[in-house]
Amino acid sequence: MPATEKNIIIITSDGERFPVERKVAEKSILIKNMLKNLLPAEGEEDDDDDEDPDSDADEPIEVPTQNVRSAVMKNILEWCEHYKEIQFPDDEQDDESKKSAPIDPWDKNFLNVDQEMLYEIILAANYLNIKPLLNASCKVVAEMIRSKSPEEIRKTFNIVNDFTPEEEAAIKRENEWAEDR
Amino acid sequence: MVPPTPTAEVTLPSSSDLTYAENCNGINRKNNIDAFVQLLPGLKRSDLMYFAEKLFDLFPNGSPEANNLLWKGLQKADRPALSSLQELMRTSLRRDFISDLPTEVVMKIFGYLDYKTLLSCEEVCKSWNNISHQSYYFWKNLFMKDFVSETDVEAEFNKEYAWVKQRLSKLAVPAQIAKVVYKRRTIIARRWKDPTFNPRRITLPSQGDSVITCLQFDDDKIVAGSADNAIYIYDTETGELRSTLEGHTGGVWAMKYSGNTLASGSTDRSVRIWNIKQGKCTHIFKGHVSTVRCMEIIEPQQIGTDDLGRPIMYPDSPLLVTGSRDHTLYVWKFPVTGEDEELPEEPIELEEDKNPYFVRVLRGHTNSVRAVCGYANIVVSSSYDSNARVWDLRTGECLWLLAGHTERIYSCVLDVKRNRCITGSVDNTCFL
Repeated sequence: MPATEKNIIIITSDGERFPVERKVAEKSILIKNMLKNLLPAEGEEDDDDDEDPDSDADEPIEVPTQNVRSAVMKNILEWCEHYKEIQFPDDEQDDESKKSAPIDPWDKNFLNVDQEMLYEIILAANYLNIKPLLNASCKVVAEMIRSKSPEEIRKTFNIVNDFTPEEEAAIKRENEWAEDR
Repeated sequence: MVPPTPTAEVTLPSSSDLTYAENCNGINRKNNIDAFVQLLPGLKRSDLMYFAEKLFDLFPNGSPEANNLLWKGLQKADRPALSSLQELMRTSLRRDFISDLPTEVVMKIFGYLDYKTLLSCEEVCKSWNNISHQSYYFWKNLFMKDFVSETDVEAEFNKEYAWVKQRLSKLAVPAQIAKVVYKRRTIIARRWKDPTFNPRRITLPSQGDSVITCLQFDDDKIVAGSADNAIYIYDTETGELRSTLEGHTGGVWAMKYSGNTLASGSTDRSVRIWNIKQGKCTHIFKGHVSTVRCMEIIEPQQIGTDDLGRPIMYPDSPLLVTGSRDHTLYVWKFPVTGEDEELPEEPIELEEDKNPYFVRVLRGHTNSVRAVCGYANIVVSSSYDSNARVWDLRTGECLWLLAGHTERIYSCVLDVKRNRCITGSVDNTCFL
């Protein structure tokens, strides 16, 4: 059966073609929904193959992704490939245990990339609608910020402090209550 | 950079010539360029450099040609150069990409943070300040996460939100109000845990030597009943004595208020109803034949739904239950008067048989009734006869006799949520 065939071809913004298995591509809800319209689901396929056996299935389907460049897509697909056997719940449950759960070590290592790549992965995960990847990468960014002083945060992200000294003092005063005494 | 003057015998084509050459088609263009390239080895290094830079400038930033040239350049670089390049790249790639992310993603990221980091973020720069200042939900979610309580946290938040909003009317932005709510809770929580915290304490001047026998307070006022026959109302904020309710001819030993109406019971065996705002006694209920020692105001509550799904409320209007040393409990309708309602000069004095507010008497205890509490149609009374009794206000029936204590019971409370009653006695035990 075509289940293991790499019959989905993802085309990136810079024209590179990535052949992937359907279940890898379907980690992206955007692509999954797109395919739903183009191809019947695999289960249904089995039932109707008396008419036109595997004629569609052999035809590779091209999926253009305008917003993602190949270097980023390579990473995204690596992630999808790693998780291809894992079924994530479609609707995201925003319960607290999930929210405060630590980042999966594999994800953490996977997302140990430079800031530009991380930024593009977040954008791509958001655009392709890959919730678990988006969550993990957002957590990574949150970790980059957590427990840092404003100055350390500015350093981390190369941010210029654009407050006037008065404004800064006012905000500091307002937030004094959080300091441990 | 100052361009070095070309010193070789050939004159370099200006950039406009080159563009022209590029635009030419076919063989002519190739020949021109080839001829030109042949001249290059004769040039000084500085001139070549100048030329190469000019050439590089022709391609727009980030164009495939520029990127391609960059790779070519990299291949020529030695290890130290690559090393410093790497360092440079790392810093130059650091940028505030967070401000560039779509808002919902930023909200997600900030949603993972704790309040201290969130506050640090506010201090980073203006755009970050805006992000964390905008969000009402950060603070609300943090509130729900950090202050776990048994009751409905969301309802608690909304209640405090409304309270804070009313106090800070000039702060219109929901996020700021939500932040203040969170802040208030954090400070209070910290103070509870801090053994060195010294709360502000107001000592209210006592009125004479008499004992304060009962007390009820809220954010606005502190009401104290005294054995010197009077009831004193203090301002919670300042501790100032606001008014004195005088009229009882014996010590006040029981007192409760609800809204603007206060009820008090005294050794003079009467129950008096007062209008707090006007400081006036409106009614005197007679009936008890000994000191009125405890009382409870029962507010209307939903006790079920009828066949059509409409809520059934009980009681229809607030009730007052008073317990006395005469072993009985009296149930009265609670006469509520408005804050500005015009009141008669003298209180209406009502004997039991002519009192339109009188509902019924609950008899059963065989000694003083010391404490009473209730909710909706249920009232629990506890007595010096070492029993507690559960009554149904609708019928006046005693539903249960809670026996077990071996001594006088001094207090009882009702935990409506868990459907439990707790009593405390001088036999040093509590019963659940």
